[in-house]
Amino acid sequence: MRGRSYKTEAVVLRSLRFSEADRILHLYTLERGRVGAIAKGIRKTKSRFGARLEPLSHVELMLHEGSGELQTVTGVDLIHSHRVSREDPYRLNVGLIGLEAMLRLFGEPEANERAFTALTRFLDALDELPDGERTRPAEDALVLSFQLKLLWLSGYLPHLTSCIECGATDDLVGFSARAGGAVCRLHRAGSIGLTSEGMAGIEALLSTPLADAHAAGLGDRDRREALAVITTSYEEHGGFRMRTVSA
Amino acid sequence: MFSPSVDNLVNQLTRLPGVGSRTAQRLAFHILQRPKDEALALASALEEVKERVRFCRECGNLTEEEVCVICLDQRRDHTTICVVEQPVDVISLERTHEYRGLYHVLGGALSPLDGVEPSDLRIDELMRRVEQNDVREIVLATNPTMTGEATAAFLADRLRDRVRVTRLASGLPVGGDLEYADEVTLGRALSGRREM
Repeated sequence: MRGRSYKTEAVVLRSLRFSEADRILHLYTLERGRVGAIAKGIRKTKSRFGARLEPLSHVELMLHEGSGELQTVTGVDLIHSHRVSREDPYRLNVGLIGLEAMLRLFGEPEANERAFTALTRFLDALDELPDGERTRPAEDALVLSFQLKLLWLSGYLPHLTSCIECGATDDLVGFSARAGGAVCRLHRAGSIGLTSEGMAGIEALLSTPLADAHAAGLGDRDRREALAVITTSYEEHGGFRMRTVSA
Repeated sequence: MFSPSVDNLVNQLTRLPGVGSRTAQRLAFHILQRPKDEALALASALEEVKERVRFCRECGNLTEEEVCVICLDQRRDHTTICVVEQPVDVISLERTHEYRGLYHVLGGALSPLDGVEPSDLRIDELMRRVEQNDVREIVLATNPTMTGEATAAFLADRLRDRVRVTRLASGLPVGGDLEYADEVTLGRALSGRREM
């Protein structure tokens, strides 16, 4: 069967050294969702790809689909390099958490325009991240908001407005990833503790645009609780732990 | 498909980087066609290299002694250490004939996505060298990739208060045309421009 070429927007999620001078790229594309591709000769200084295919780069790619599992990058135009984020250790750590979340949650070659848009907006907001508002990268409001939105797009959105077991709207004291949402005092067995401020914070991170995540004004404890909700949701529904969060 | 020993040789060759099954088959048949002593010389070279080559106690470069020739060379500048990711980077830098200091091979670059953390690299050994010897400058020569830059930033943070820290310049390759440079490289060349 003859291969075919197509053009698509993509974000480089991961880049692995391969063979003598190649790299294998994990891409999230607008047209096909998650795609694996090989960039031949990219590690040579004379490569026409240059530095355009580093992780975090938002690019327009020409990909050739052959009979193998990996597609081949035949052309690249840079849309946004996100160099600012790549060269600042804090922004880079926050960005890597976002990239790993995409890698873990969206592993299928299936187009999801909203996930792609969320990813590009996350990277744009990362470049604009204010210098002053820095915490532990995993507890950054931007990446928490991004991951909550990804959970929503994956269908794992935690239900937080009432007890998932009995429907009670008051005295919500915990979060049960197994049940899929908040629980009241009566049904808190096996849940993690969650304050009403923490729940309000998660709701705010979900409803606020990514660029305004920091403006939602979550306190340290609220952010820690949001991270706990995200982490337990990953463990329960995806069966994984994030390497970049524990690093 | 051929015989158990040929199949075994093909399988072993396939484990080499960049060698697929076809190349492995071609190499295996080439070895079979060559005289016996030539094939055995290859086998003995493989055995010898695994027996004798090890990592330098000081810098982590490949050596046949406990300490490599570069670390032992008193004519070199022992107050400057150039930090690289892999032993092959030492060879590239030595080819320039521009650098006369010592090296430190980290054994990789930080990559949280791949689970490579500071404890997986020879960072503590570097800190020890800086503390124990009269080191005045650390040249960070990790690759200009995301992981290389992250490693350089991490090291710079830990070393900045103790010693002068420099980073290899990045920009246009000599002999190339500006019109073929990618935006990121050209951008870095512009921001790193120097007075003339």
